[in-house]
Formats: sequence, structure tokens, C-alpha cells
Amino acid sequence: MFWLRWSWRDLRSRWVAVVAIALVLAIGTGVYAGLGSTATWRRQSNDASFSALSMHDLRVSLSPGTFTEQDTLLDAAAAIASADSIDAVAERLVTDNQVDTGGADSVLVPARLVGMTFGSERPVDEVWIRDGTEPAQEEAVLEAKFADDRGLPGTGVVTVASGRSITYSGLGVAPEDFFYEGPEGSIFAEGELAILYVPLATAQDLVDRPGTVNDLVLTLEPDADRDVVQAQLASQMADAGLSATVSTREDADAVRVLYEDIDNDQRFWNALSALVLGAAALAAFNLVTRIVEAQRRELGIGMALGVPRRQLAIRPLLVGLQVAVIGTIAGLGIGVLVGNAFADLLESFLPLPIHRTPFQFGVFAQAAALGLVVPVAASAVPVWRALRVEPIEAIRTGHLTAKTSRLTDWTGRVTLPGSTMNQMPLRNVMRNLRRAFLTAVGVGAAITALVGVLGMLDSFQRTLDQAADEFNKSDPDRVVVQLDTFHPADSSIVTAIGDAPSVAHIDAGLRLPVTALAVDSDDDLDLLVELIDFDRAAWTPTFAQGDEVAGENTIVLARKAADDLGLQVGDVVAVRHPVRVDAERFVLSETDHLVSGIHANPIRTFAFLDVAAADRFGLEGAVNVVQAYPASDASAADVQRSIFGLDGVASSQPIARVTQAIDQALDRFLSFFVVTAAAVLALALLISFNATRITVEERQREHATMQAFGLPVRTVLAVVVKESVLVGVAATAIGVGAGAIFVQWMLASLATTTLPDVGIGLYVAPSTIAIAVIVGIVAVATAPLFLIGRLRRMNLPDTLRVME
Amino acid sequence: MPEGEQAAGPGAASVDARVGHAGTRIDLDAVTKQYQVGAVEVTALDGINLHVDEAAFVAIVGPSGCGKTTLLNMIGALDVPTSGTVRVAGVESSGASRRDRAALRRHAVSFIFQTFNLFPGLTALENVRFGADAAQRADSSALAEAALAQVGLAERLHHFPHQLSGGEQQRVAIARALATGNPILLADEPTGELDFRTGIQILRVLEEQARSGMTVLVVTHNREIARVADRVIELSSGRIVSDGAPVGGKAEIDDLQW
Ligand SMILES: Nc1ncnc2c1ncn2[C@@H]1O[C@H](COP(=O)(O)OP(=O)(O)O)[C@@H](O)[C@H]1O
Ligand SMILES: [Mg+2]
Repeated sequence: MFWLRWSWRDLRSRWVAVVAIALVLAIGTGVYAGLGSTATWRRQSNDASFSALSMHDLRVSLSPGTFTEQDTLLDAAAAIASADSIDAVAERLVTDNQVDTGGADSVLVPARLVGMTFGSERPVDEVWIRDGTEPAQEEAVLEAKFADDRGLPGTGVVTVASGRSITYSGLGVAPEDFFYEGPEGSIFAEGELAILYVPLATAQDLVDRPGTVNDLVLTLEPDADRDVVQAQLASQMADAGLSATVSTREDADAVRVLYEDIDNDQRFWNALSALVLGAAALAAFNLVTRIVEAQRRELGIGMALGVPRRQLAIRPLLVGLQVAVIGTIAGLGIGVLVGNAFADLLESFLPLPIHRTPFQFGVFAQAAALGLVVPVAASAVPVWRALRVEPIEAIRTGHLTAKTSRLTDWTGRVTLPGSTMNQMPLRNVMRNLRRAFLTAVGVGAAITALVGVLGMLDSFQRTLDQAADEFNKSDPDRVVVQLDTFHPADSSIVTAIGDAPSVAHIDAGLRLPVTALAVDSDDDLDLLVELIDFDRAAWTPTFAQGDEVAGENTIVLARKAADDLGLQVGDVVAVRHPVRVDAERFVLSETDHLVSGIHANPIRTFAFLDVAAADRFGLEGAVNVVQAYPASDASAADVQRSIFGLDGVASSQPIARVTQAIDQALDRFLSFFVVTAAAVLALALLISFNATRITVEERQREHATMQAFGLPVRTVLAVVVKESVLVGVAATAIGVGAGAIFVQWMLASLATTTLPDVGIGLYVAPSTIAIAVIVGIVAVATAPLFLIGRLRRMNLPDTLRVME
Repeated sequence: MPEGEQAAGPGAASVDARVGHAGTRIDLDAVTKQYQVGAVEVTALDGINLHVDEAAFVAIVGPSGCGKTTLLNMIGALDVPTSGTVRVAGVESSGASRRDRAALRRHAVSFIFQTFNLFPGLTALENVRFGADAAQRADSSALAEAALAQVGLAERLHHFPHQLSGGEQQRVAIARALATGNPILLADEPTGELDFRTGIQILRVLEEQARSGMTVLVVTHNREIARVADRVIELSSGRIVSDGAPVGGKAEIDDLQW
């Protein structure tokens, strides 16, 4: 068919442009498909992993410190009325312990010993052995995330509290430990808790409780009524005289956290991918429109010759269709690539045995639909505009496209300085402001996406740095020691810590959970207040605003906390807090505090009071947290080691590990950004380059005229570069501005959903601006240099001869 | 000036248009230009011998497709011949590099195109200044104003091309060529798209240039226009088939009618 052949010729003559624009769309759809798939992948991987390891449906745990004879729990479960509903059941012995990893980089950390049955026919909460082998008797499997975090080998020996060594034959994880909370309930737990999975008998032996258990896990038949079984188990345990709690699968932190974040995170990625796809679509629209506009004259001739309009429209529309088809096919490829990159990231973050990352055709189809519609619409608009007019006007399209809008006609009176070669770039831009603007918007859209992505990275990074600076400022090696309960400041435990050989000096204080009541909403905030002796402590918070902690009724909040509570410095906040009435008993009370300042830590939870406020809590002279500063020849690890065994120490953590842990937590987010940023950078460069290429094509005739007047190619090139720079500057300004707005908007939404605990301020780093400038101005300005050959080879007689 | 002219017609023998002219400005010897169009070889110029001197007003006539534009492009060093030599303003351009030909165009020739090829983004004044700037002449602004005044457009300095009529645009194009100050003026059908009155105006300007010493070559397929030239060169199928004074003698511009 003639039209098809013609269009095939078109395609061949501009395949570079078509393919490049198609790639723009492909990156957009690919990133969209890749980012949009993560929720489904996570859900499927979670489902598959929990079910592969037979995660319990119900768990019976005896009260801490109580144990029972082996088989007691099994018998109790078998005795319930709905015993038929139980699919599988397993007894365990779960105890707290501590582990010394030994070796040169030895660390001493709290541990959990899980005694269980390995190689069971009908396992519950099976351990996935990632590296190594199942443990023999007297052997263990070490929890893999801990080993990874501490850089431990796949097999080795560790020492537990009783001083006994145990060989671990491999690294692995049980489903309930896919995620666990740290000793202080922090989210930064990895590396702070060592879990050892050991054969039941070995566990009993290690903790010296032969023949006892304290834990029962069960899976139920598919049609079982879990609530009923749960209730029956609870009463059965009570009847057996056992103090036990029966919890469900969803009560487990691992299940809650692994599923909970999915939707929040996805909303976030959706916004980001929509931005990237939107930028690609906008740019593709602009580029296709400009290519098709160049064909308007031919349309006019066709109309003058009486060719039916419908038939005329086919050819330019085919350009759009080609872009659409190639873009969709390439988008599929890029979607798979980007998707694989994201899938790899997910696999490295989520310690799951099974990862399900099938290509998400549904998500891809959404993006592909846009990828198909945009170029077709982009070619249809100029075709429609051309076919609407009288043929004669379309033939004179030279005048049409060259036409300045009435708006800019007056600029003829404005005399521009410099030679005409210097005036030409600005004049060309002014001559068709609409097109220059659209081009700037097209390139600007890519820069918006780039600044959006990099700006998020910057904002996160700066927040992290702020937190790290604040934590680390007195001494990054200080160790925060949490005591098991409240002790007098002059108690033996506090003195013992201070007297430890590796400890130079200590600051003892109080750390208490309180609830700050919001001024005019129900969103009260749980805070961790620290009572500090502001005059004497080595570490005191930095004040971002205000500076006085005057006596017992003032409080220093994080900026985010103040904002969320609707407070400003000078306001009064009601705080609900515990008050000790006697050694074992606390009651809740509400007192007003004056917000005297804002501290520099972006983490919302932290708040500070003067130590004088202790009597409000009934805790005058009491402490429960000690900051231990290492002696000059000692490290944080030495401090931890020298105080670990002390009676009354609950946990210790070098402050540096807190920031390190935050770093790791954010890395999860950031690496997705890095992948996206790479795609967006490619996108931005492609758009820049294409836009310039099309400009050069549109100006061919003028460039030929300049050369006819003897101007050297480099002078012509300089004119093109200058014109590109003008558009590039506008594009960069649009991109940086819109990108910053996007980041601001994302942060605002993060502030309420994904990361409510951290106050992340908008920050676009100079390096990001530099990259935006490189893409928006340097790339746009250097793109013509790649076209120098084309300019040089230009067939001057033919280009000049063309009748417009 | 050669007397009489040879009969033109299909298959007519080619004429040596060097005879009687020194060729001080333009000197073409045995110039042939062939284009390869697919498997077919098109001969656009076929053994052209031509001399033109200063202060000449030469018309090149012939039917469409006979090679007029190609010939002008050879003279203007926009293109190089397949064989033969082209010498313009004392410089041989046929074997010259692109850069040397660009330099030649910059300082020896200037073009007036049938389709004007004005810069649509520049005002009339700026378009004309471009000519002076391109030829690296000092005080281009003043030169441009003078050139525009010369073509009667002193009032339209700050208008953009699309705000001007076709005749005005062509006059801007002429002013631009004049502003270069280059000795050879090449005009390809400069009146082709214009009405009679405008065409006359333009011819007048071109003739004035020839009188003041420039070499002016005007391509036209209008034999009436050719009558005002000093010398008429007729092309047919890429060959010069006649060369001499206009048939029936040189006419005054005021006497023209078409
Ligand atoms: N770039 C080209 N490629 C192929 N053929 C060409 C090219 N330029 C001109 N021609 C052919 O050369 C001949 C002379 O063209 P031209 O000089 O434009 O004629 P005129 O100006 O007298 O109408 C024509 O047959 C034309 O088709
Ligand atoms: Mg011609």
C-alpha cells in the first residue's frame, strides 16, 4: 500500500528521532511499570515466604520467666474442643540470652535462644537455612540478618551467657524473625539482637532447664475458625494453671511490619513514577508534535490537489503510531530491566526465602496505554490544525510556522545589542514563544523528575546528617546504657559503670515515655523525654530555636513534634506522663510544660527536660539511662564489653550505631531513588538532545542561508548553541522550581504517612542543581555539537532551493 | 559586446560565452555538473564556457529545468562542478575546500533567492545588517539603513518579514545582498513571485548596481525582463545556446510590459 510505503520511507529518514522519542516514552513506562510493581511483588513474596516456612496461625507463650514440662502444652492443645482444626503444632523453648561473637571484632549483644524441632514432617515456624546446613545436636543456626550486619562468616562459633560455646552450622531465619524490634523498641534493630535457632534439647541444656518448654506454635486447617481456637486455647491454658497469652499471626511484628508498609511505600513510588511518566509523556508529546508540524506544508499541497483529508492525515499520524509502537515495545524491555533492578533491591533488603517478582502486565499496561495515546494524540493535534485551514494557508505554512504571534510583533522596535549573529538566538526564541516555551517545558519536565528524585535523596541525606551530627556531637564513641529499671544516681550499678576500666566518665539521666497532647486535634504524640542536667552533661541538645531550659516546667521538642502538635516556642503543652508513687507503682498524670526551644534532631520522638523536672515524675535522684564515655585508649566496644555483664544493665548501644542504623534504614529508600535517578538522567539527556535536534532541523533553511553568505559552520553552530542555551536556561529554571515543589509535596505526604517520625526538610543540594544545569543547559547546548557533521554536510543548494 | 545572437533550439550547438569577454569577475571553463538520481545520471550543466566582467548586467534565461539555478550555484561557490573549472573574483572555487568556498562567498558574492530566505525572526533592518555582518563590514547598522533606503524601505526597518508584502521581502533580500558590499550579485528569479510594478522596481535597483560597477547576474524565465539586460545568456538542457545583446536591442525598464 502506497501510504504505508511512504510512511516507511518517513520512518527510515527519521528513525533516529522516532527511536529516540520512543525511548523517552519507554523509560517513562518502564520506570512506571518497575516502581508500580513493588507492592504486588512484596505482597506475593511475603505470602509465599510465610507460607513456605509454615508461619504459625496462633502462638501460645507462657509469661516471661515461667516454664512447663515438655508435652504439657501439646497435650493442652490436643485437649481443646476444636482440636481437629489444628493442622500442625510444635513446642519450643524461647529464652533471652546474650551472645559474644568472639574473634577480633568481637561484639557482645543481647540474644534470643529458640529451642525447636528441626527437620519435622509437619513444621511450624520452620527456619529457612540460607547458608550452611541444618544444625546437629549441640549446634545452632545463627539469624542471618544479624550475621550480615556484623559481617560474621557462614559458620562459626559463638559464646552464650553461661560461657558455653556453640557452633553454628549455618545462617537462617524463621518467619517470625523476618523483622524484629530491637531491645529498646527501636526500628534500628538489625545487628542488635542475635537469634540462635537450636534443637530443643540443646536449648534446654544451654539454659539448664532440661525437659521444659515455654512456647507453642500452631498452624490451623484452612477452614478453621481461628478466633474460636484462640479462645479455646486461652481457656485451656488457664484451666491447666498456666499463665499464657495466645497471639495470632498478625500480632507478630514481622507480619505486621512487612505488610503494613507496603501500601504507604507504594503510594510514594506511585507519585514518583507518575512524575517520571508524566515528564516522558509531556516531552514525547512536544517532540512528536514538532516533527509532525514540519509536514504541514505537504498536507496543504495534498489538500490543494484534492486528496481526501482523511487519507492525508494517515501519514503524519503514522509517525505518532510508530513512536507509540516502538515506545511500547522498548518500554516492555526497559520495564523488565528496571523491574529487575528493583526486584534485586527488594531481594537484598527483604530477608525472605522466596521472592516473587513476576512482570506486572497490569501495571505496565496502564503506562503503555498512556505511551500509546500520547504520541498518537501528539501527531493528531497538528494534523487536525493543518487540515482545518484552507489549503492555500497550509501551503504557506512557511509563513505560518515562522509567524510571530501578534504579541511579539512589537519586539521589532526593541533594538538588541551586538551583531545580528548574537541577536538571532533571542529573536528566534521570541519569534515563536509558544514553541520555545513548550520545548522548555518538555526538557523542564525531565529536569523536574530529575530534581524531584535527587532532591528527595538530598533531603533524606541532609536529615540523616543532621541527626548524625546531633547524636555524635559530643563523642561518637559514647555508649548509651539502658538500665533495667530506675536506680538511685548513686547506686552501685551507676558507680560500677563509671568505674569500669574503659569508661572515662558518665552522665546519668532519665529517659521516659510520655504523651504530648495536641492542641486542637486528637493526634497526641508519644515522645521519649530525656532529663538532662543542662549545666553539667557532656552532651546536651543543640538548639535550633530558643535556648533556655528554665527549670522544671520547660520542654524542648523536635521541630516535627512541635509542628505536628500545633505548637510554637513559647506555647504551653500538656504532657501525660507516669509518676512514681512507690517503688513498683506508677500512675499517669498530666502537667503543663512551656515549649522553651526546638532542638536540632530531626527525629520527632526525642524531647528534653531539665533534670529538675524529675520530681514531677516522682523520680528525683533516680536514673535509668547512663551515657558512658570511653577512656582515651578505649573504644565503644570496649565500654560495652566492660559493662555487659553488670547486673542492672539492660542494653548498651554505641551512639554511632544509631546513626549507622538510621543510615541503613534509609538506604532502602535511597537505592530505589538511585535506580530511578539513573533512568531519569537518561531520560533527561534524551529529551534535551532530541529537542535540540529538532530545533536544528527546523532551522535548516536559515542555517543554509547563513552558510550561503559565507559564514563558517562554527559561527552557525554558535547561533544554534546560544538559542539552545536560552531554552535550556528556561527549562532548567522550570525544572528546578517544579522539582523542588514536587519534593516539598512528597515530603509533606511522607510526613503524614510513610515516615511520620522524621522531620525531613526540603533541601536541594548544590550538586543536584549542578546536575540539573548540566542536563538542562550543558547537554542542551552541546547537543548541537553532535550535529556539526550534519551542518557541514548540508546540501546547501537543495536546502535553499526548497520552496516553502 | 558580441554582435547578433545565435539561434536557440533543441539540440543547438553550444556557444562559447567566453568570446568577447575578459572574464575578470567570472570565468567558467568546460563546466559540467551531473547528478546521480538513483540509477539515472542527470546532466544539469553540460560544458559551460562563460566569461563575465565587472559592471555587467547579465540575464540568464531558459525553460524550467535547463540548469539556470545550477549555473548560479556554481558561480556562487555553493556547489562544485563535476568537471571543468570555475574561477570567481580571481579565486578558483572548483577545486577549493568547503572552508575556502565559504570565505569566497563571504567576500565575493551575494545571493538573492527566489524564495527570499529571509530570517523570519529578524526585523528587516536586522536581516540587512546580517549581510554586512556576514561580510565582516564595520558599522553594519548604518550600512543596513542605507541599503534599505536604497530599495525604498526606509520606513519599514522594524518590521518582521511576515509583516511585509512579497515585494517588500524581496527588496529586503536585495538590500541584504547589497549590504555585503560584495562585487558579484547573483539573483535567482528575483521577480518570479512578484507583480509587475514590484518587479520593475527591483530590476531598477539591480541595474543601478551594475551601473556602479558590480557584476549582476539575474536568472529569469521571462524574456521580457531579459530585455533590460546588457547581455542575455540562453540555456537549454544544460548548455549555453545563445549569448549576446537582447533580441531587438536593449530596452529601457520604463518601456517594459508583461
Ligand atoms: N540536487 C539535485 N539532484 C538531482 N538533480 C538535480 C539536482 N539539482 C538540480 N537537478 C536537476 O538538474 C537540472 C537543472 O536544474 P536547475 O538548475 O534547478 O534548473 P532551473 O533552475 O533552470 O529550473 C534539472 O533537471 C534538475 O532536476
Ligand atoms: Mg531554478
